[in-house]
Amino acid sequence: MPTQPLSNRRSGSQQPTGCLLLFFSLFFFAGCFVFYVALLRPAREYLASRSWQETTCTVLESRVAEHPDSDGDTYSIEVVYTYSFGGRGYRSDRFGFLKASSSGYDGKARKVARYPPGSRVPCWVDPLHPEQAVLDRELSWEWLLGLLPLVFIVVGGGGMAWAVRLRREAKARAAAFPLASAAPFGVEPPAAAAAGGPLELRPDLSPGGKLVGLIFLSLFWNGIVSVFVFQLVKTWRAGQPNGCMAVFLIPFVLVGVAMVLGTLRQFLVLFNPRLRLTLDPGALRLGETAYLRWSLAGRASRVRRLSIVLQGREEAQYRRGTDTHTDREIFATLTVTDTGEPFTIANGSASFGVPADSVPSFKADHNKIVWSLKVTCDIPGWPDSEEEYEVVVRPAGAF
Amino acid sequence: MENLGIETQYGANAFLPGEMVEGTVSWQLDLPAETVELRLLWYTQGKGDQDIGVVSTVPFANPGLADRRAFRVRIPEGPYSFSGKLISLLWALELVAEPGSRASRLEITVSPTRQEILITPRPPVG
Repeated sequence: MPTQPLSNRRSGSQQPTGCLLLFFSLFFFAGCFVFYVALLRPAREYLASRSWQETTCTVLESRVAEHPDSDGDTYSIEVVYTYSFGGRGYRSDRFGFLKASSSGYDGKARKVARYPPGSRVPCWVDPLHPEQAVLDRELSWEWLLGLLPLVFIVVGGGGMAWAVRLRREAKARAAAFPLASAAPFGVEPPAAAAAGGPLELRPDLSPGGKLVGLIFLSLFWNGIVSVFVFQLVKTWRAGQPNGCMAVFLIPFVLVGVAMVLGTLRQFLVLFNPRLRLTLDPGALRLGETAYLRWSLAGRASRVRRLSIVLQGREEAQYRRGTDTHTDREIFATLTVTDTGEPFTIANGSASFGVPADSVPSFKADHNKIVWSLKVTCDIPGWPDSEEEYEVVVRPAGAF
Repeated sequence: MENLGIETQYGANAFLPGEMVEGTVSWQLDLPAETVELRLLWYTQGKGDQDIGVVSTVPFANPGLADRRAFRVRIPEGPYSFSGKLISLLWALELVAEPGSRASRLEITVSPTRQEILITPRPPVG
């Protein structure tokens, strides 16, 4: 009885990548638009208003406008005022730079109370466009709401990148059909190791690379949060502490502090002795012995213990809905060295072998067998160095 | 009733990397096929999304409604048949008639021991 051919399928599910791209583009561009309207444009106006000229305006009307909604009423401040600039009279209804309404009546009522009709209050006028004026140019916690569209931007942008990647992978798979016999396991050792010579190993992610990534992330996060913390401090100094804003900011600040501490820790790791690993031969073979030489540059005496293990693991990547997950399962752990001897820590070598009955490295789109050397330098009273070096394990015998 | 079949020499279903597989394929079709070919492929099963690699194909020229042909195909050096906690990698010979994607599949094992390699977690060594 005939069956459906498995070989007609391609790796992974056949996603309609065009539809995915369109779907996530809508998320992304809608998020960008709302982000611009809700935060970027007001922020630009806010910054521009720092050079606007102060003048006195007369309040004509002021009230808290109510906007009924099935999810709960929202409120906005509505103030109409007149002012003179350059010998001409103007009328404006712009209170602040944020235009959206939000929940919370009391705070807005307190603000409106400061602008009773007939009162003369300071306002700020754009000298180049005198028809543009604003009454309140202070930052408030409501500006944080403008960050919400970032969720759409991140989800949309991530989804677009994912869809583009899917499309590229599909093209690559089509081009690679049938699988190139030059790489029967889907992975090749570096050129220097292919001939069987030694290979100086490089960590998957260098300490400097990790630090740069953390600095970037930390600056981005804390740069945004600090604007609001600054405003909060101002309210405290003015004797009008804003408790709601303080509570709202606590988790954001804690995440920022954790990022700073992580960055600091990674910075300290830069001063750890640098490990140099040489594997001979550069590509391991099942059942054969290899030699690992190491040397620590810098103050090796600070390292109390050096541990190197060879680890084999399965990696299975799968999709659930729109999320991609990767599960890992370690199936082999082999200690190459675990020493506290100062001379051996500074300079040493060890021989080890991959069990003959194990599997070589293997890489397909979603499923992998990964072999790696995991190195830990234990330094008392200082952040430890932990690095991973992926190595290629080839089958026994030449091919 | 349509029928497609694959037989290896001596009924072997486990092979060494690099070994030559010989055998015969046969088919009996209700509707004519434009192409009939034998494919050698590996595929994964398990927790991850499925990966498939077709490593070689043997086309059979001028396929009739019913025929029997000999084939020879060389197994590549890898990957090996293995089974772990998350991933299993399997090999197969597949005879496919198009159009209609009518197929028959014979599962085989490829490894240096002619047995599937089990990579269940083992205690740390050293």
